[in-house]
Amino acid sequence: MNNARLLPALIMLVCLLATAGCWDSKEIDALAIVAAIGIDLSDTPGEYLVSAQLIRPGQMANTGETSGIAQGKPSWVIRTSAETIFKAIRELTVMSSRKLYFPHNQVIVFGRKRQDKVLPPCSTF
Amino acid sequence: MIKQLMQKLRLANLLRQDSTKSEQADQAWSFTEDPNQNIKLLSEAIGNSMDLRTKLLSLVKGQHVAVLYLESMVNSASLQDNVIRPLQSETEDKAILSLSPRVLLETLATQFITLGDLNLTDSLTKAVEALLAGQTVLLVKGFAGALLADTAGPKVRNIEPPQTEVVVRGAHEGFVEELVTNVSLLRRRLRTAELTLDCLRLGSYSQTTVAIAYLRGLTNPKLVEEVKRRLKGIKIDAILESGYVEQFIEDHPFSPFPTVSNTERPDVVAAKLLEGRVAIIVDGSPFTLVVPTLLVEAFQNAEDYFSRPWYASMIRMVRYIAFAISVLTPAVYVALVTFHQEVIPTPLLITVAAAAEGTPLPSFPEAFSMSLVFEILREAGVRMPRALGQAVSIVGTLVIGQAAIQAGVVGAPIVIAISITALASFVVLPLADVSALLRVFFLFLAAVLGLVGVLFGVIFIVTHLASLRSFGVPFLSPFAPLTPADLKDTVVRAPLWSMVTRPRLIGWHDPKRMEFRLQPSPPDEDEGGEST
Repeated sequence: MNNARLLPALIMLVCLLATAGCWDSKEIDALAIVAAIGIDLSDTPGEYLVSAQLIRPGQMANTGETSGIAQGKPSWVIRTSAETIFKAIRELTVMSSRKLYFPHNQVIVFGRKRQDKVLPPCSTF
Repeated sequence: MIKQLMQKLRLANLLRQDSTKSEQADQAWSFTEDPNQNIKLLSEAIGNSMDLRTKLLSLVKGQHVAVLYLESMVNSASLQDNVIRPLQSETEDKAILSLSPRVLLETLATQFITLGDLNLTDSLTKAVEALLAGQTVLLVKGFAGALLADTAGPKVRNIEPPQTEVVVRGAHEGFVEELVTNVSLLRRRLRTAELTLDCLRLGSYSQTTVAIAYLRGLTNPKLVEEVKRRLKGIKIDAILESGYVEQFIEDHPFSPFPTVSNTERPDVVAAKLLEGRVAIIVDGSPFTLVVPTLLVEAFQNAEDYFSRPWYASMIRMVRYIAFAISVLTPAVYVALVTFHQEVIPTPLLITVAAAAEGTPLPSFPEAFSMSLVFEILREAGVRMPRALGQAVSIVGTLVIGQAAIQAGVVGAPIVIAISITALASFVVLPLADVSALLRVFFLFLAAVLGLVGVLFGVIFIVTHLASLRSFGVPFLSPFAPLTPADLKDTVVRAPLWSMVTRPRLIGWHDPKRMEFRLQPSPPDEDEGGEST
């Protein structure tokens, strides 16, 4: 181990970590955990109505210590309609202050009327 | 550059001058035939210290013996009973007046002074050394020399249970600060002529006795040579604790892992000597060093061998897991919460998110600051005077336990994670400081790269471990290089009767520890012979 080589190696390591690291880190309190998604045909012809149920962890969790936070419903729903489901989901993101987080989604609900129009685009999504 | 070089040269010159000066002084400096002059020389040599006592004992008709000793270093009872009283009371009627001074001293030594260790010397330097070691110096008129009587033995601590390695079952004797007591503790356990203790003096000012203990027929002589070579290389002013020695003889001074182990238990030292290791006992320190050291030794405990193998094996595994927990928990927590939320079960995620809701800090600073708080609490708990210990524990539990969570300063999950970490780090005590360092290292990696970073760190650490050696033995053995026979005493602790051989890389000089087929069993009824 000689010091002349060690120093550049260290600098490189630090640069590597600083440039390659952190890019996909997301703080947990900046996430809106999606519990359920609903997909239906909108009243506007040719558009899909997409809604998402977001968990409000402060009300949901039985921590007992969160007395400072006002009591309310444990979840809230946002919905929007767009020509495609993809577009609708992107628009949903704007409606919450937090980033929607889908991996923990439990249910996807499809509209009962006109299933033939709703299901095919989802199954090929 | 040149300036530095010049400075170094000047320093070297200075050092050389110093050594020549003291040699010259040696030559002009020796015993005379006048006892008063000798007393003066001796007391000047040790700087007229307040603890130097000089007694003039008169024998028969004008014959005097001067007795010099350091009150702080001698055993006063031994001095009184074995030197002073015999000289005062029993010498009156003997015909010693006619003897020449040298013969007189010899007669005193052989017939009157009831001590085993007596030496005649002509060297003033030796006399000063002896004086400083607690011996008594006797001078008579007309003889340019002295009789040295070993009355050493200042008051020392009693043998107490070891403070650091506590066992439920097993001997409750720990090493103390005094070398001779420690050696006796060791010799009582290995009552064999093979147990060899070589002595060295280290430290120009401290003159610390350092003993190298090993079993002659069993230990690799090259290892003993290497230990001696490294010890002799320590040119330092003082050795105040065995930690000084450790830092001068270890193979990898920059590694966080210790490649020299220490123990306070004589039975542990005996067991390690029986594996072919070398122990270094330093006067003034209850911690005995043992080399070579392997990583697996940190997970072993004396009690593993005293209790039955099943439970011992389970506890072994628990220790390995605890070490992993103590190093990785905060890092994995941060990685999961900031990078891999999808891995966390949904109910737990909601709980963690709820806790994060009310707290001001993101998870990495939170984990980092809580680790810091824990280290502060630990350090305070260790350094605090006993009387204040309670205050620390009350404040500590309140501050990081209840109050911090209730006030919403930190979340409950991180407090739980740090608490588990803290507990686990005390399970593997020899590596507690290593785990504290690695924890921070892994925490940073986790904050930057998530689980990928943690994995990267683990690979880095394992590579580093594989590169370490302790006195020629790979630090990771018997895992790497793999020695299947030695796995019997690693993650599991096999029954004692099945551990027939010593560790191969250390005890190869005399590999057989016991007879084969010692497994106990009730006698066979039909005399069928060997049942295994």
